[in-house]
Amino acid sequence: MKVETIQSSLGGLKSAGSVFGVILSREDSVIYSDVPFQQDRVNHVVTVLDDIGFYFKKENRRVDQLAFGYDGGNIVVVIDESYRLVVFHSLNDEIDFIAKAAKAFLIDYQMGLFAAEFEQDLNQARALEAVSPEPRSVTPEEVKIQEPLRPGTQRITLQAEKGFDKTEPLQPRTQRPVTTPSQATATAQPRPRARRTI
Amino acid sequence: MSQENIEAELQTALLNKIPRYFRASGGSAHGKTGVQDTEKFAELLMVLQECALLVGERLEMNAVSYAYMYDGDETSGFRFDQSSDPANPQVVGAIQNRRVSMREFTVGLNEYMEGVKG
Repeated sequence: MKVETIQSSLGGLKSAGSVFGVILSREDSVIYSDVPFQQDRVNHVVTVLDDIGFYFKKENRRVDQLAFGYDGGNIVVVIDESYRLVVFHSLNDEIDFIAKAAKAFLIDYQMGLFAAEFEQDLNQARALEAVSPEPRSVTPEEVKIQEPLRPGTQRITLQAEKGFDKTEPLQPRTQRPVTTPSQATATAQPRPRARRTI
Repeated sequence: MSQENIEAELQTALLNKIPRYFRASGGSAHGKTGVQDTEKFAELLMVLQECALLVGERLEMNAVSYAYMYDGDETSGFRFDQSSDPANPQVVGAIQNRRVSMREFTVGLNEYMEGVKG
């Protein structure tokens, strides 16, 4: 998904209510951020949230929303698998409305990624199809009909082509291409690192 | 409160999916739904407080006023009782085995603090 698309969608969220910042991340990588904080602070928040997510997963907890209130503002964190959307807002009355909008965005975002990946797969399959030879039709001589096993039933065998005594192991015609993430997710690769304990 | 009453209180809360309220200060927590349930809240309080502090520490948002979460079908959280002594701050919290809006959850905690509930 293009950064402009994310920016457009999250721009709507950012201008809603008392929202003053948003961070979209995957694991410990920042996908998009628009917050009045320095980048190192954003990275810190994302890393901490990844640690928190890891902790809850380890504890078999299905935490999908967190809300924190501070003297300087409020934070809503919506979690969907490895994706996290952090929204900073001023009024604590708006938690539910913001969380709802954030969840809707995350669903749309992941659908967008899925659609892009599907389209890429489809294009690749079409490209492979264009270069592969036409399937050969079986000639009547190659079909040998043996005597019936029982009255009313027939066994049909296909004669193998010359030079092929046995069939090769089945191979998929097209292999699933290695996913090339869009620009927006290009940085969202997990990196091994030490995790803090909560 | 007898053990039977404590058990009945917990069962009623679970059955009706109403919040179980707790109060904590100075490293100890108190509730009306038994030791195990209070221990569960105490653990949750520690985890949520740690999470809130970790997230806020580099953003210069250190004074945590509340922290809530949805864990599966459960809503839980705490908030500081602003009417408590600043030298010995108290926390009120709740666990509810139902997903309620966080606004509704906050209202419940506020009412509990004011003595309407509990």
